[in-house]
Formats: sequence, structure tokens, C-alpha cells
Amino acid sequence: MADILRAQSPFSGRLPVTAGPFKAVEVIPGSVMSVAPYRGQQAAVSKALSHHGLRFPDAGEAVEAAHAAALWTGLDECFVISDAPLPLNLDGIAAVTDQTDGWGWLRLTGAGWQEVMARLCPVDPALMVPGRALRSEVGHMMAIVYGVTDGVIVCVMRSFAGTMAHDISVALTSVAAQKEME
Amino acid sequence: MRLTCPLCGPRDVREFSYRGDAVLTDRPTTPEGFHDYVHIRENPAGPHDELWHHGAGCGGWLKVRRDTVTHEVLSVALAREARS
Amino acid sequence: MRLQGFGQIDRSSPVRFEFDGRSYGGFAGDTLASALLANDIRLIGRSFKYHRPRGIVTAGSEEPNALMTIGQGAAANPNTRATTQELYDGLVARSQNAWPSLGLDVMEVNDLLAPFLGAGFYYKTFMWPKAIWEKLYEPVIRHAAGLGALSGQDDGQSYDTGFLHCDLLVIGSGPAGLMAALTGARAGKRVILAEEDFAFGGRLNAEAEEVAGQPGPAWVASVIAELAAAPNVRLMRRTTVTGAYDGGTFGALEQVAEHLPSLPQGAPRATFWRIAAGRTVLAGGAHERMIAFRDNDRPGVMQASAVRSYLHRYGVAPGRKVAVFTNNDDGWRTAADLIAAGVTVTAVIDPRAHTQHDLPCRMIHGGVVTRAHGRLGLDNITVRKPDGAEIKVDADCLAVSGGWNPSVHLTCHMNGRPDWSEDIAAFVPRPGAVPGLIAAGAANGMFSTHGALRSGAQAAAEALDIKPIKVPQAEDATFEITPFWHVEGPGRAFLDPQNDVSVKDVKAAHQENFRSVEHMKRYTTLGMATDQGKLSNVGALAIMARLTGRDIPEVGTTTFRPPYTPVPIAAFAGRAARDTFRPHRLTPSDALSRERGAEFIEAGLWHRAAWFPQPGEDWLAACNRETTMVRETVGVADVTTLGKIDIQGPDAAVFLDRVYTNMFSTLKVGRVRYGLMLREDGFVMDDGTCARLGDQHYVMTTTTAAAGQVMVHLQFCQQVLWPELDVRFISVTDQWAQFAVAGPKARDLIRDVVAEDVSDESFPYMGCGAVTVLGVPGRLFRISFSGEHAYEVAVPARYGDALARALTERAEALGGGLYGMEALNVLRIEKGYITHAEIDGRVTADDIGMGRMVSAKKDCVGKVMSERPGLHGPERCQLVGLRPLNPDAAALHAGAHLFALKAEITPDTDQGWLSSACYSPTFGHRIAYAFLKNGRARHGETVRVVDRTKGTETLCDVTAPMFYDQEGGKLRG
Repeated sequence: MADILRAQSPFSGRLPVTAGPFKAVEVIPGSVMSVAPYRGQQAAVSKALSHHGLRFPDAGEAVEAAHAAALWTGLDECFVISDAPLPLNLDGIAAVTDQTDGWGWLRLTGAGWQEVMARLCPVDPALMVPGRALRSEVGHMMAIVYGVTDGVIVCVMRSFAGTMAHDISVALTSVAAQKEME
Repeated sequence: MRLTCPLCGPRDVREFSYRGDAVLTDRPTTPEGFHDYVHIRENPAGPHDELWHHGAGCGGWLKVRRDTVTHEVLSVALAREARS
Repeated sequence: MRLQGFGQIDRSSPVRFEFDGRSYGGFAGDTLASALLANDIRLIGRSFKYHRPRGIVTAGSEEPNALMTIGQGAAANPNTRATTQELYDGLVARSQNAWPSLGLDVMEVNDLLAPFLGAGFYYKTFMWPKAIWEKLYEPVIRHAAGLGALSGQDDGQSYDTGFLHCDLLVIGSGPAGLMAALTGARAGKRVILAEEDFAFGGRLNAEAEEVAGQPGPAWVASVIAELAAAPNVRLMRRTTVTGAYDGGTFGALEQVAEHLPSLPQGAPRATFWRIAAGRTVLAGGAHERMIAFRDNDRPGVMQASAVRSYLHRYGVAPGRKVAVFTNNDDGWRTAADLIAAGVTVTAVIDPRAHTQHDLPCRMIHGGVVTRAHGRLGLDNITVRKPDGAEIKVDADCLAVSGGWNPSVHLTCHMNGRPDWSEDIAAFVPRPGAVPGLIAAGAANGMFSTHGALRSGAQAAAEALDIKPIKVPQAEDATFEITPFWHVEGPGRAFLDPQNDVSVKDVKAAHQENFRSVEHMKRYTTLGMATDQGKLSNVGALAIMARLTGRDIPEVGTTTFRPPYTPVPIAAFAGRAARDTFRPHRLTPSDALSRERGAEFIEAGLWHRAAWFPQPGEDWLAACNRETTMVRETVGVADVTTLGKIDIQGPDAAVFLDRVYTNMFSTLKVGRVRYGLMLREDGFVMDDGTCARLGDQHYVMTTTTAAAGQVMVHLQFCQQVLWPELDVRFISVTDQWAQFAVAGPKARDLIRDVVAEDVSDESFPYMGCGAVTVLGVPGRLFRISFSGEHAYEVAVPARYGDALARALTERAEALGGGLYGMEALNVLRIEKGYITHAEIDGRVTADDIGMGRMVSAKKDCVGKVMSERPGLHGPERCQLVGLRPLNPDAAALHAGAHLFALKAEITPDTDQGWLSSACYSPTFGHRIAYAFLKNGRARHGETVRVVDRTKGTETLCDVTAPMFYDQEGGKLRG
């Protein structure tokens, strides 16, 4: 029993990638918990989350606090991401599932990153702003897209990380090459 | 084609998949109703209630009223809130 | 011939290019067509069917003749219109459809045979015998009649797709499009201006006109400068909007690099955009049409407007002695512009008896051109004067104007039909044909420049519900036309030069009663070539209208469909090509498996290790070794790919009772149960295990193949069928790395990695619970898909690679090791576990011997329909095992069919099919599963297994569908 299993991040060895002004780097949240309030319990869940400066987000919303955020991820569901696991105290009012290892997160930055997203995602990049979290597909993969001040965070299921890294790399290289041509 | 998801807003049709006639929302409570429920469908030229799934989005099942002649989308609602 | 003082080409940037092996000069800003004409090249191709010499007809994307192959090698681009191909230094162009050369084309014999090669000829002549059609006629015809060909090799280039969003999409950047874009831009709207040409401006670049007191191109430049400076405007040159679709969606092809000698590193050759537009202004202009007369396809016969384009935009006179044949004022403008440029105009022929025009050249009012002369290029024309006298007029270029057709195509893509306008003798878009789209300018039949400017501004204002902006001053002449389509006479008068369809062919169609436009189109192939009849459609309708005594609107048009101009298939695919055709899902043990030399198999999007060959092993040897290893020691396999769905909530148990056929509310916490799911029509959807981790907490396992489908089904059940149930679920497939550890030594291995007690008391067969795995919180399930004592052990996925290595190392120390999908499949066949090879959507629970799993105590999805009488009884094919009589028999493959011993082999005597088969190293012969009519009652019988695709027949004994450890002692022991 001497082994201590070595952890590996989803994009390990695959990111960062850069081209022109663009950069995609891996982001590793300390904890990601899916929170799905039971029937009629959204207000109670929001109250419980308020201890961490959060509340249950509206559709398409990202509620941010200093060291945590609640990202809307679908019908009756959000992800609470935080630097370290939080005591959520949601027993009986919400289904809580550990998703920390289930997803790979990357941050895309660089002036004109919207052009890169336009190659990958059918949603208008103008909607990818701080305070917004949306579900869509990115490069034919189910994704969570979350606006940040200098770019966007894209999150796909862990097993897709290889394809995601490849696709974002091709897209940002392609857009950078086309900027060169102008 | 685009659908306006009640949760996600206007989205490209590629995010959705089609399930068919919205009669599926009314699952029979007695055995007699199941034949019609599973097999019998109207095929109207005009407004039609149907079910779509926002699989690449919120995961919501949507009840969409769509004109089958013009493809105009007349309304979209979450299926669980639009049950008859 | 190049003219000094004309054109917008960059004379300071000369370029060299090659056409059919000879080198020529041109300038930056030329198209290939303008440069060829500047070099006095008139013969540029051979026609599709008759191999007639052909020349450049247009100056735009409607060009039917000047199709070239551009570039060399794998990435050569066939069927490129020389009229839209930008010239660059080093461009290499080849003509098409001529052998051995353009000037001497041996297939020109087809032209002499033309009386026999009219419309319908192929169908009538080569009908019989069928075999000869396929083997001889068709290949020869395809070779003889054709366009350019792709190289057949991977072009090694990338393409892209993307998505754009705007308030206003403006299609076309002529006067109407520019005003529409300006209107939207100044109101702060998000505007996309798409222009198929490499220069903005449309016909303002091709006319000697002023706007707001400036030369047209200068006004264009000032507008583009304003738009380029606006952050809310996206200017897209070289971008053709190719289709209009529902909900304001448009397809658009952006050519990124066809104007460059080579593709810049990393850049795509083209991008196909899907544009979501709030509103759209179609300002795509109009196409000038030709007039049909004998031999009107001779090189040198051109659109009158194209002649002006070459003159004003490229500084090229397409001929030294130009004649003009026109039924409207536009042809006269061409003559006037040529004369002003010092080019000789030998005559203007107008079928109208009188016009207001007076030019210093020969004018023949009331006359028609009856024939063009000159084989490889126009020498002169025959003109019939009003008095009937025929004269010859010298001309190396004939500029023809038969009027203008608004470019209505996009407005027809959603099944809209255009309206006929008598004023301009042409079809115009029907308002509202594409919801949210308004046509403006020449595309809406507004042919004066001022009218186009005005209508563009108005259309955008109307579309966006804002105020129109001020319209600059420009030419505002009225357009006058007397329809004139065809000069009667002997010989062939071409309507559709790209498909070699002449007036005679339309007459033949009429004669044979193909009178509906859609029938006429298919009989003659008119408008079916890559130009989609942009030049020919209306002319043919007019002739059919006359033949049938109807009006043109009564005849109607054929259907215009996307794409407006050809789109490379590669551009539709974008990045989804080659090995990234679709996303890959990789397992936690992927790196380890690759290090071990595994061969992989795709299961849905997953890439799973299929077998791990050791030196000298083929797949079968590896599979046999791995199977035996699991039976004798212990094997480790990655089963992360199975769908895992975390289910929680007060009604979780009730919910599972309703989606599974069997009971899950009675399952004890810490135990696992096998479950079966049906579709509502009563057939099996999926199977798998489901573990109860807490009173209100389950983890469902689905098959790898059906994970997505089951998730969608659960969402359907919860949201649509029973929203009153309080249950929540989410996929945890990627959260947990999960490995099967199977074999007699499985417990030895598990004991070594799991901190907790794993005795039968703590972890009996079908037990589960939270454990600590090498210091990490994990989960352990005592379940088996092999028939052996087995576990599935799960840890958070970040530890998946490390755990795979730790388990493999320990297994190897015990004499075992990794096993792949092939061995996994053999193990489950030996044991009698089903997969989607068995539950293929056609079988019921009863068919697979699980009828009793459909609980009588409760309802579930599919229960009622599964009880239909026809789904039970001896007529059904039921799951059985098969064992060949001859143990050395090699031929048992899934897909073979079953027959009774003495039966004739016919579809009527078919008794079932083989669903899975393998060689069993455990038993030393092949085994199989099959669905056999009334099979459960026939154990011990002998049947014939007939495989028509492999030409084999094997006798097999029918057995129970389980070969290995039928008592189950190994599972529990």
C-alpha cells in the first residue's frame, strides 16, 4: 500500500498552445461540484450558497465570488467551482455530485479571441462575457463556455480533452495565420 | 433553422434533436391507450406540436409549435411546463 | 487588347502566368479571364458534349464556358471560373475537356454527329443491353463529356467552418449593398457585408459612372473606408452567400487563399460560414442574358455588360472590331463606351424598329444577327436587315444584350417562386419569399444606379426599422426593353452553353411532351450544370412559352436550390476531416495501452484497446492468450467507457422502477442489480447494472454504445413523462476512471490495492461500496462481465492513469495482465452475457430469456407494449447458443442465417440469425449466439448455419445460451 497515486490533469501535455496573439492554457479548479436543487428548493439552495458569496444562478448566468463561482450548466443545474472544496451543506435540498475530475478546463485569451471561438462554437461570442455561462457545443463537443475579463473559459468532458486541445490549437493557428495575411 | 430555447436563447438547429409529435407527453394510464400513443400520428400541413431535445445545450426537452409548411417556429416552451 | 488609361488594375505590379503551357503577362487586379483577353486569347475551352470551341462570355460568377483547372498536383482546383479567378504571379491554368489540345480536339467529331446527339439521345440509344451500358457506354460517355477532374489525392490542405451573427446581412456590395450596409452601420447595428468578388463595388467598378460627383470606384473606396472603420461592421470579400435557410440562417463560402500562389502556413484554403442574420438585404445584382441565334457560342460572343466590365475595370478591349446586338438600351451603352475608348464598333444591331440612340457607327434598327462565323473565334456575323436582306458585318467580338435577370436565386431557396415583371421582362423576387430578407437594387429589378442606391438604403431602413440615410446623386435613367429571345433559322442556337443545350433541344422536349419546366429541364439538362442556368434559364422558358402558347409567368421557373455557386465538399467538412473527422474520447489507460502496443477499436467516439499483441502474435493469438489469462489468473481492462449516471433524489427509487423492467426500490444499499430497459414500444433499449450507494442515491451503468441515448431517455422520462418525480441525475462517466479486475486471482490483486476488507462477507457477489484505493477515495463494485470472480474498481479520473499502471503491474506479478475488447468479448460470449449485438432494437425481453425480469408488480416504460401477443410464443426468434458439430469448423460469423436441416434455403424458410460468434480458447472450438425461431424449445436440435456472404454452411447443435460455468460458482466463489 505504499503507492500514492500520481494525479494527472485532463490537458496535461496538451496545453498550452499559442499562435499570434492567442493563447490557450489549462485551468485546474480545486473543486467542481454539480448542484441540482430538488423541486421547489432553489431558494433554499441559494440561501445555503450565500455563505460562500454565491447563489443559484439564473439560466445563462455565472455568479462569482472571491474564490468561487456558480456557473449555470443546464436545466435545474449549476457547477460550483472553487479553489478548494467548500462545505456546501445542501443535504436534502439538492443533488450534489463531484465533477472535479470529470471535465477539462481551458482559458483562451488574446485580442480577437472571439474569432477563434467563431470557428468552434455556434453561439455568438458577443454573449461570452463575464457574468455569463452557457452550454453549447465547441468543436462538436458538449461544452460549458464561461466569459472572463480577458477571454473565455471552455470546459469539455475529460475524455474529449485531446480533441479539444487539437481543435483549439488548429483554430487559433488558423485565425492567427489569417490575421497575418491581412 | 434556429430555435429559441426558453433557457438558452436563440440557437442553431445543430444543438437540437427531433423526437416527433408532442402526443408523447400524454402517456396513457391504461393499456388500451398505448397502441395509439406509440403508433398513431397526425401528419398536418400547418401548425404542429412536436418535441425537441436541447442535447448540446441545457438538456431540456422542448415543446415546439412549428408550421410544417413554412418551418416557421410559432412557440417554444419547456415540455415539463407545457404539458396539457 | 489592353487599353491605356482604363481600368483599375495595378500596372506597377506585372505578373506572369501560364495557360496551357504558355507564359503570358498580366497585372495585379486582373482576373485570369481579363488577362487572357488582354493577350488576345479567345479560345479557352471545349464544350461539355459537342466539344465545340468556346470563349469567355461573362465577367462574373455566372460564366458558363471559361472553366479552368488552376494549379498543379494534388491541390489543383478544377472547374474554376476564369472570370472570378484572381491573377497572381506564377498562376498555372489549364483548359479542360479537350484532347489532345484546345485547337485540335479529336472529340470535336461529336459536333459533326450533333444531329444524333440531341437531348434524350443517351437515354434512347444506349438503353440496351444493360450490361453494356454500365461497362462500355457510360464510361466512354463520361470520359468524352465532362468537366475537369479532382486529383483523387488528399490535397494536404485544411478547410474551416465557422459561425457568424449579425443584425443585418448585406449580400452584394454594389450601389444597393453599400447603401444598405451604410444605413445599418450608421445606426450602430452589427452588419456583415458579403461580396463574392475580390473588390467591393459591384458594377460601379465596371461602368463609367459617377456617384456623388466622384468616379464610381472612388465613391466605393470612401464608403468602404467608412465601413472598415466601424467596429460594428464585418467586411467580407471573396465571400459568396450560397444558400438561404430557415430562421435567418445563410451559408457563405469565403475563399481565403485561391488568390495566392500558396497557402500560408496554418491558414485554411476556404471557410464555410453559417451566418445567423436578424435581417438580410439581398443586393446581389443581376445577370445579363444572351439572345439565341445560330452558332451564338463562337468565341468572341459575349455579354454586352461583360465587354464594359473588361473595358472599365481591367482596361481590356475584348476585340478590335466589336459589333453589338441588343434589344435594350444597355447594349447601346456598351457601343458608346467602346467608341469613347477608341475601339471600332462595326455595327449596333437592335431588333426594335426605332430607338433614341444615335452613335457614330453603323446602326441597324429592326435587324437581327442570324449567324456567327469563325470556327475557333468569331470573324464576322450575318445580319438580316428589316428588308430581309442579309449582310455580313466584320466582328471579332459581338456584345449581346437580351436584357437583365435579377439574381433571384437566394429568394427561391426556401421554395419561393419569383414574380414576372413586364416592365423589365424578367423575374423579380417575391417579397417575403425568405422571411426577413428584402431584395434591393438590380436584384429587385431596379437597374438605374440612383435607383439602386435609393433602394438599398430603403431596404436596410425597412429591415431594421430605422430611418434611411441620404442618397447620393447618380445616374437615374429609365430602363426600356422589348423582349426578344431567339432568331429563328436553321442550325443550332445555344441557350445553355455549359450543358450544350440549344433551342432545338427545347423544341424536342416540347415535341416529346416534356412541357412542364421541370420536365423540360431534366429532358434537356438545361440549367443543370455548375452555373445552374444563370445565363440560360429565362431564355429557355421564353421559348417553351412560345411553343406552348403560354405566357412566361404561366410556364414558371424551375427550382433554384443551394448552393448559388459550387462549394467544395471539403469546405462543408471544415476541420472535421481525416482523423479528426469526429471527436475522439480517450480512456484513462490510453497512454499505457499505447506504450504496450495495443491495437485500438472505435466504440462510438471512444478509442478502446482491442488487444495487446506480444512479439509474434496476431490478433487471434493475443486474444486467445488474454482470454485464457483471465480464466486462469487475473486480467485488467479499462471499462471507463461504460456510461455512468449518478441518480439522486427523494423519488430516485420510484423513478428507476419506472425506467427499468425490474425493481430497484427493493435493492439494498451497498448492493448492485442487473437491470433491463425497454423502449415504449416494448423492445429492449439497453441493459446494465445499477448500484445503490445510499437511500436516495444510485449509480446507473449503461452500455458504452447507448450511454448518450439512455441519458436522453432519462431526461425525457423525467421532464416529459413524470415531471412530478423529484429526481436529479448527471453523467459521471468522465469523473471516474473504472477498471475491471477479473479472474481467479482477482481478489488477491484487489486486496493489494484496496484498504478495506474485501472478503465475501464484506464484498459479496453484487456488493458495492466506497473504499480507499492506494490512498485515494474510490468505489468498488463486485460485478463480472466475464463469468469470473471479478470487481470493478473506480477512482477519480485524475488518478486513472496511475491506477491503470498499478493494477497492471500487480496483475503481471500474479501472472496476469491487461486484456482488451476482443478478449472481453470472448469472455462474455463464453459466459452468455449479451451486448448490443444481441439487443439490436428488434428483440424483446422474452426473446433474450429475460421475460420474467419484466415485473408484474409495477408499470415501466415499454411494459404494456411488450405484452402484445405477437411478441410471445413459438413464432419469435429466441436467444440460443450454437456449437459446431465439427469442432474444427472455422466458419461461424455474426450475420449468418439459420435453417432447418433439410429445408430449402429461401427467405421463407429462414429460422433466425447469428448475433455473436467467436473462437473460444476455453473450449477449443467456435461458439456462437443466435436467435432461433422457438429456440428455447429446441436445445439439442441440429441446425444449418448458412452464410451467403462468405459462401459457407456449418452444422451446429443448439444449446442453452451460456457455455461457461452455468452454475455460477466462479462468480460467487
